[in-house]
Amino acid sequence: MALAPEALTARFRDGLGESVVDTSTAFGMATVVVSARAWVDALAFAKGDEQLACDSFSWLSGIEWVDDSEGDADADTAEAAAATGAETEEPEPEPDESEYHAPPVPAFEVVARVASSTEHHGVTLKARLDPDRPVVASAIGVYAGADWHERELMEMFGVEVVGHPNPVKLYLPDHFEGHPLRRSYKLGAREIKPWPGDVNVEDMPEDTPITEPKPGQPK
Amino acid sequence: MTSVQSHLSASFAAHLADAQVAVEIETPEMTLNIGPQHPSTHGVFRLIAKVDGERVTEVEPVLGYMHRGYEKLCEVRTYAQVTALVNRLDWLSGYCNEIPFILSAEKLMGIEAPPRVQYIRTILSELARQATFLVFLGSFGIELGALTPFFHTMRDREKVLDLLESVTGGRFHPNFNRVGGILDDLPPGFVEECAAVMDDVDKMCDQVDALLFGNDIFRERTLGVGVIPLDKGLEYGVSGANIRASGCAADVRRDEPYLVYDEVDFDVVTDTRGDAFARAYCRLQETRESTRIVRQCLKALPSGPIMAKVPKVIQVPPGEVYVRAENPLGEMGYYLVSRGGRIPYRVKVRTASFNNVSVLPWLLEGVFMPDLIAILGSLYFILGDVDR
Repeated sequence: MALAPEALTARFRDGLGESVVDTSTAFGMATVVVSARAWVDALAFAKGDEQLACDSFSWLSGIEWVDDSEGDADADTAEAAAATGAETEEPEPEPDESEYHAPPVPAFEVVARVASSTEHHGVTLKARLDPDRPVVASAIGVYAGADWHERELMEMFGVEVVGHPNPVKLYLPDHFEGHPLRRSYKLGAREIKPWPGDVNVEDMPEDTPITEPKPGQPK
Repeated sequence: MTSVQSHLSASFAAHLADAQVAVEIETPEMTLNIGPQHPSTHGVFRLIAKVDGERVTEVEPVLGYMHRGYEKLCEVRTYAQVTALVNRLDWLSGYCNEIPFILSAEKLMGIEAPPRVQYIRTILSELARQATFLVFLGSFGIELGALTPFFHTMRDREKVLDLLESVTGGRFHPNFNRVGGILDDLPPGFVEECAAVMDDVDKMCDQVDALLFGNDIFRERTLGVGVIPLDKGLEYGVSGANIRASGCAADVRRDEPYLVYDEVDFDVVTDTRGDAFARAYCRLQETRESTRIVRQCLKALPSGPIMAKVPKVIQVPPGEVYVRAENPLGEMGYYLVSRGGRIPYRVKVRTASFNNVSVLPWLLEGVFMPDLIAILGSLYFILGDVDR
């Protein structure tokens, strides 16, 4: 029997107690945030618990939360609503679920998705790490498939995965410096040449209607 | 016995003795490099295999020849621009790659596409699935020495691609989905043409079934080769036909129905053998199921708008969501993180091939060299999908 997102998060709270930092069922997705120390235990619990029975490993990655150019998320959407709301009807954005909240910045989250092949439910597990020096324990002992995902996490985000048997680069050449998926790592192509000319999405002013033809462009 | 005969039999005996000795001699371990260019890898993929005689003792896959950094590129593109990118992940079924991304953006925005859009999306996804599987049924034969099926499957695949092209304008990279709808309606006469092609595809499946799967050499090369036990497969996140061939009835289309898969009738094809033959045979039957789905969709196709009411500038409210879909190669999903605005904050792309290939070092240990090709071919991965 597939468990509802609320039942899934409740099960984690029961089983892991104080290790659970936060839970969410926003957008119909069960998310459980655990303390970094309980990371492997939480995965083992998801796999071993009879009701959860998450025997299938989907993926593992990271999210770096920084206070960057987008600015305050809420202010941004409020502005956007003001800019576009007059002429178009905004559909109801929030479904009838508990509210979504992003972690306070700066933060670094390691994220894993595991699912049950028999119960047909899935859960997103997260742990918040130190954003300056992210360290996490390897989950290979629980899910063998975490191997390559953790190697990718190491090279792309500069996370130290403790206990990984083969901590070498997966995609990047050995001599590559830097961690490309970090927010501070600038995309080289955009540094050399703004993309794509005058319709760069980052620089386009909010109040320009995108349907207005540019000079010289066919109507 | 003449002297010649006795000489011959003596030399034969000596050869036999040699052969006997050669079997017992410890063969030196050799390192064999396969790829980066090899037909059975469907892209640039390299395997460093340590072989002892004919037996593979250790395999190290080398990835990254095609790594294009899509997750990074998604962070500087609008939602509409991202669909053009993700077409190129699994390039054989580009259309399917758009679906989970668009659905995740729609989910965060709280938009649902009109029914006609859902049906057209389902039809096109299934057409892309058939095109992909027809390539597999042809190329898998080639890898094992059967050249003929390839020409037949490619001929019929072309008909399927023509259908896709008639709707989207693109054979491989349609870039046809928009948040809340699709670019254009079906062209006139599509329903009849599509139904005719589905008959052709079904006929093709029957032919391949007899030609390839009934072939003794093919059966010898694939039966019992490269068995993935169910628990191992799940632990590595193997998905799609690869895991269904190991006895797991996991299909996102039925477990977590998206588009209109809850309104059509189809079987989830499984097998218990878990070998290369079972994986290939599952794909053959799934092609038949796919034509079944398309026929039902064509019959039930509703009329109506092809676009939901969406703002002129697509802005996705803050949120995180993971949406997955059953792509031809397995489970594909996007973990979309938005902090508001026109650009995704982070997109984690979960591709089927990456997990399917990650089982290789474990799976290839101890197999015979010729079986390695059969196993690589039967896992059916696309390197654009592995490297991202």
